[in-house]
Amino acid sequence: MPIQTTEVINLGDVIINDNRTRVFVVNQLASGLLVCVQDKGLNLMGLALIALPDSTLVGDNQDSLPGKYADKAMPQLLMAYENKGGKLNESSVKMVGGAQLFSFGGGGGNILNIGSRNAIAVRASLSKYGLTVEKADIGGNKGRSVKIVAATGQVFVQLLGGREYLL
Amino acid sequence: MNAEQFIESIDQLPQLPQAVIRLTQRMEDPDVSADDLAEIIRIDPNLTAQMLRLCNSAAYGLSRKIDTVKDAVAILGFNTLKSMAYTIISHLSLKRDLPGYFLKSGDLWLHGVTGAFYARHIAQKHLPKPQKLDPELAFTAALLRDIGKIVLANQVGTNYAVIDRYAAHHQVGFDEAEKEIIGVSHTEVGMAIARKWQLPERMVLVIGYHHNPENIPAETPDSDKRLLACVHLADGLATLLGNGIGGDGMMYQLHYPSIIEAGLALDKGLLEVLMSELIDLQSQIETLTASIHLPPKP
Repeated sequence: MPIQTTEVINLGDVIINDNRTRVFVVNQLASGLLVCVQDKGLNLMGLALIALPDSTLVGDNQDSLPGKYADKAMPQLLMAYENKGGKLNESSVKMVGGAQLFSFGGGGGNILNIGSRNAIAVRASLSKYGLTVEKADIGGNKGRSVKIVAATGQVFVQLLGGREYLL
Repeated sequence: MNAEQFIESIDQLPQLPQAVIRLTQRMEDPDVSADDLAEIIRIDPNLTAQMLRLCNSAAYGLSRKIDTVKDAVAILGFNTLKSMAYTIISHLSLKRDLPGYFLKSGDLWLHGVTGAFYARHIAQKHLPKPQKLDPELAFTAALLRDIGKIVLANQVGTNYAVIDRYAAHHQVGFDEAEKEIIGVSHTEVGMAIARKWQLPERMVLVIGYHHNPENIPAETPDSDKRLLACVHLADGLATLLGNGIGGDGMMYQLHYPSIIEAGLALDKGLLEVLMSELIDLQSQIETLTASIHLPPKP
């Protein structure tokens, strides 16, 4: 049996993987959103860990790591996935994360809902490519840790303080 | 039982080495010289070794190797030496695992260091000029903000489900739920520890009120209130970005008026700019933590 290698995914990472021995982990996922695109044959996987919904709010000079924005990461991910031979119409999408802090005390509106805005931005991007999210575990007020096994396509999620389960 | 009585009842209160306590006290003395600090550090071999290791790490990017504390002081200067000393103190204090909060070894320290980097960045880049603070002050003040968790972890572990349910049901911060269920919160306990360790008063206040800046005593100097607001926002953003968070992580309310009063015009745009900038600090944080925190042996 081949030895599995584990790779940690960080905010802003966009990864295309065709190595079935790989296991990917996100140790502490909060408002960030992990998007996982997989072909049905489990030969190719695309992963993006998004931190923010919209690069245009931030401006060009902040663009050091484009993968952290949904509007940049998603086209980058899906194009790289297709370039590597992935067929979007034969692929499924899973999405994990997007938690948020309790809202502001004493005013300030709801500007802290980055997690849910990330999810909206990702769904909008996916729909442009004719994709929908097949399985998702998003929202709430808890951080998560995530493990993705390339060989099986399984995505395991654990709420911090809870039990691990298969998405 | 109040926080002071609570920490008196704990057998294993975290202890700081004598040299570290002397160092923290002397660092607040306006007349202290860098040489005085070097003298205190030299007395403790462990502190000396850690300091030299950190000086020679990639985190400080010096072109030549530093062999003595005296050289370190001469090259790095007083403020950097002070930040470095508090970084080592925070590592000594926060590195352990805390199953009660679902934190693995190093997680709480990572949260401390990340918040410190963020607080420094906010103070440096986003406080308007009339309200400027020394960014290194923001860094050191943020490092030890969660020290109370070290002591409260066992009680939280035993009562986690109840505290968690209370916070979720009443939509209050986890620290408020701790207070309700256990009788004290980690911020109160942290403040009591900081007083016992004779840390500087503004650090005591930051530890005690970093979740609830609105409760800080009214007579607190404005500069300390701004410092607290920077740390409060940094703490919230470190949590939002998932750095060293535990089971309590996101049960947190940022207090908007305290942030605005500090001169930080936080709106949706600034929040996202800030988060974007803070993510870019990640490699600096990793360099620093890797140079001081050795991973546990397998």
